[in-house]
Amino acid sequence: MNSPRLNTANFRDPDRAARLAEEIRRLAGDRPLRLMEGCGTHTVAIARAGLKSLLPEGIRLVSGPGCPVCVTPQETIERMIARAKQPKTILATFGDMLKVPGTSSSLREEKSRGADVRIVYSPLEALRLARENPGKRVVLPAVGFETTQPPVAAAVIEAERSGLDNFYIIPAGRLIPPALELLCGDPETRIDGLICPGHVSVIIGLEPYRDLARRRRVPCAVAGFEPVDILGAVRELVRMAVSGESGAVNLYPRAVREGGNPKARRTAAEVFRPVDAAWRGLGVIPAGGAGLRARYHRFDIDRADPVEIPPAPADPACICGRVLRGAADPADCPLFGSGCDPSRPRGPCMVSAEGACAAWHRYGVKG
Amino acid sequence: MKIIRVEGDTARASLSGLEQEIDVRFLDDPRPGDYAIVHAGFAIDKLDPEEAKKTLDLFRQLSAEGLTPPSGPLPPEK
Repeated sequence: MNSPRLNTANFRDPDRAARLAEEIRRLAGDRPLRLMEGCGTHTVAIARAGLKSLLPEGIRLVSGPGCPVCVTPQETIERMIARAKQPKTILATFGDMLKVPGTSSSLREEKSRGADVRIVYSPLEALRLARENPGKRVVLPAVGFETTQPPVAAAVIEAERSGLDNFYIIPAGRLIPPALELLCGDPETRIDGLICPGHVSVIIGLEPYRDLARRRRVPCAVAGFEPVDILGAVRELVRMAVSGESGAVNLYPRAVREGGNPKARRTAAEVFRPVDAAWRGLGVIPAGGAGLRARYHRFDIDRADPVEIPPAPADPACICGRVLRGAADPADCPLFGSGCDPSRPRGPCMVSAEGACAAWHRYGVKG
Repeated sequence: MKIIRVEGDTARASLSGLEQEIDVRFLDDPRPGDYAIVHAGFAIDKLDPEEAKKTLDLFRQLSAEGLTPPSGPLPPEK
């Protein structure tokens, strides 16, 4: 029997989108509401489809800390650059990290000066590099959320099993629910509803949002990435906010199961455990990061070979930190478009394709 | 991406005619014809075409009824 076809065109259907926008208008009335999208892919989808222009003035979509590159603290960026400069070292990085500015250079600049920086798409490619280059060590900055940690963990487990002794990571993974929880209580952010990240939710399922909704009295909707998905989520969040309900709904059931993906979570949990971790703009978040478990400590390059990192002050003119908290829009930044753009970014939100500043700049979003 | 062929933990998958090798160790019973969400080279779960249809039906039904689902918040999707 043939499997049923997946037709996503209907999720881009302008008529459906227009109907949902109309309902949002009617449900919201003139009530001002701030809804945060906790996922960089949503930020890009909203900007690309121009969804803000369909919404009534009172409904503000605010970007959150949903771009893994953007929330990586400056100290970790400096650490990656320092590693790239070391001899007999291959720094294997996800592509987005390349242009993030450090205090005096970036991975791209180090690469052009001769450092061995390779872009990998999968952590398993970094593992392959380690096998193919026994005379060198391969360091993978493990930046990413719950979606990326299972793949990184799978690579670490394989390295352990095959006795590979030249494969390392910089543990830099971050966990989304504790960050959302923090922002729900932030008076500068003021969230009336959360559009919960689609792909992170594929892994973690609905329970963390039910928990958040219960404790913080905030409506949560898990959404896919097409315009109809996002407007459907906005509609449901507006309805819940207006009627004073809180709870978590799954509007992306074609991808997200109630219990998430337990297999992927088990793999991640075998290697990583929640640790307190610094986020750019948000400070240290209790249990907000993925640290290596003790039995995998030998894969942590900073334990195997500690390196001194000079203090890394963030660029004082850059407001990425406030943008990541939803406390400011990209256009509020004095550097936005004048001194900071995707070709010469000053902050990570302009570097990453998923960054709010890059999305606004690329698609000409007005506040 | 649509899975074309499965061999152990890896599979060939295609998106708009572009083929790629992906890791399928996190999927239950991956088969040719399944749609997978791929992140960092790994299929993180399958996409369910039936659920896609149900979501659209739900949005349409809500529109037809004018406003809210009759029993308050939307029921959890299974």
